[in-house]
Amino acid sequence: MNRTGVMLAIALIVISNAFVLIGVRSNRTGAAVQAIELTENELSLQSQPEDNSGIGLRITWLPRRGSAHETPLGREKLQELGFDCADPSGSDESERWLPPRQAFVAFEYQGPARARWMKERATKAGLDPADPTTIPDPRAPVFENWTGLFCVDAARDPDTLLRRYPDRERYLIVRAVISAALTADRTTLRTWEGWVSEILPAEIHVPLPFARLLGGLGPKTGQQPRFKVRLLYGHRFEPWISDLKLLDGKTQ
Amino acid sequence: MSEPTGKREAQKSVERIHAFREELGQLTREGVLELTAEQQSRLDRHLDRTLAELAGRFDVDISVSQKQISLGMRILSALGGLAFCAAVFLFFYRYWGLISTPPQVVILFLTPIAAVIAMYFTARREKTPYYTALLGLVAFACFIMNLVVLGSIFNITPSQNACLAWGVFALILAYGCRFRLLLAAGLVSLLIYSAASLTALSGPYWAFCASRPEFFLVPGLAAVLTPLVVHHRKASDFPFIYRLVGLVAVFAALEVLMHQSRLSVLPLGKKTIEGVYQVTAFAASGAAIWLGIRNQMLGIVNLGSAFFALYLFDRLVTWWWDWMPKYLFFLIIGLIAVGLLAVFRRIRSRTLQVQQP
Repeated sequence: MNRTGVMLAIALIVISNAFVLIGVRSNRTGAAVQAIELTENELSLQSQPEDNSGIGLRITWLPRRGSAHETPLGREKLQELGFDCADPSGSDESERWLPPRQAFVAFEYQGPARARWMKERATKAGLDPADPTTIPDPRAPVFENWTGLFCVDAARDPDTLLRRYPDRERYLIVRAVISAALTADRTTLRTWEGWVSEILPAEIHVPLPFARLLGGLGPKTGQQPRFKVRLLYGHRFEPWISDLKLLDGKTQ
Repeated sequence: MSEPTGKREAQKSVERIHAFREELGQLTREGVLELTAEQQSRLDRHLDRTLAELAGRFDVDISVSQKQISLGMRILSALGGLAFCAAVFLFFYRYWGLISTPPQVVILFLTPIAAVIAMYFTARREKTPYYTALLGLVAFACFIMNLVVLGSIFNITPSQNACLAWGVFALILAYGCRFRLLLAAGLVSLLIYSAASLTALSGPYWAFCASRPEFFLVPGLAAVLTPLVVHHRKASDFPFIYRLVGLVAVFAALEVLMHQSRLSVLPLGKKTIEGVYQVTAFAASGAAIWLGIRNQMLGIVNLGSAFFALYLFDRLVTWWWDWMPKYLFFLIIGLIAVGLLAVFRRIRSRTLQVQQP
């Protein structure tokens, strides 16, 4: 290994790290684009193996999947997002699945869209929508059903959603991966269905000193959240935690 | 004897000397050629001196047992490197949650730099870079950890650009310490970066580049053709790695496209796409065999043959498995294998006839 190789390798490490850190600074400089307070119901604590001392939170949302009338991501919206959704009546087996695409998604927090959707699903299943034990989406893990975040819209660029949903405490705009597939319901009517399959980034790191508060918490067992988080989003729609409080009154 | 330019050529010189000695011994026993005692003595002294010089300058193996030990050392170097990589990753993950962000960033930044500097010092002390190669693997793993964990700490949106940085880094280290495993790792990273970038440009999310196998074809082909443009005088074993990685990418992509026409970006019908890629797959593997034979590249011949056989078996299963009696299916496979053996035997004897005066 000669000196030139060493210098080149070190230069690449320096440039790469500088690139990342400049991006982080650019994201966090100036006023945050969004600031929202969420609870453990929306930011679930990820259980880490013993070999990993880092703590992360994962955004949970509804609906996970549903037919076109249940979610806002029907054929028209999917085409807006760039999916090539052929006419369902004419498409064959090979067009049933399309590769997922990146887009921006608007989530409504504790709003009427979620309540409406829960009522519809519960009624359809013959359950009482007012019953707190009613599980609206059996395809999602139980604790994710308690989230207050509900997908209401999607767009290719965030500015469209920021203009449409200006209430920063009620709506959260995030970068996400949208999946699309052609599905058939019981009547064999084929429709295009889109859903949010992943939010980017998938996990939000909890830095010190906030991580110490969460370190002693075990898995969630009840519907009541144990902590709340002040989440900020910067110009690149990358989040960070500005405050975290346990809901039994303890703070950092 | 022409001066060897690197260790590989020096090792070939050693093997030529051994082969010459064996053949000379055989000719002497058969009475074809007899040297006088003085000639034999001068020849032996010259060859021994040459072997000693080659061993001293290039650290080559001059006996079979040395060769076996060297192979074992190379394996140990690779395994040791991988074990150290795992240890670095797991050690960091075990303790990173206990330290605040600024020290995390500093540790992540300095660890690969320290490994690269350690590589420089060990390379100055070793003729054959066993420890240097091991440290090279560790440096590569540290750089991967550097960017992955930074992204995790600051909640950065994942992107394929990290693969570009990793690929270039691995190539720098590979050429620095002549380590083929690092070269392969670098080429794979660059392949993934290229395919992911093409995928993102065409619309889908970059992480689903595997759902667009065609985007691996062009970068794969570029890897295969790189040795034609970039001449490797000192690292003469590197072109094989370029061809190997490129061909595996191309052949694997073709195998997927033969079955999954829905993953193609071509604006053609399903049957047409599958037909096009089936023909292309057989043509590509056949071309690899032919070029490998022509240019005496055994590895390429073997790779082409393996994928040709895979494609053939794949097609036969698709066409016949469902309706043909199973014993008949395997009987036909066996007969095809026998037929191919006969074809290759004819090619081999024809090659031999061409080489004989």
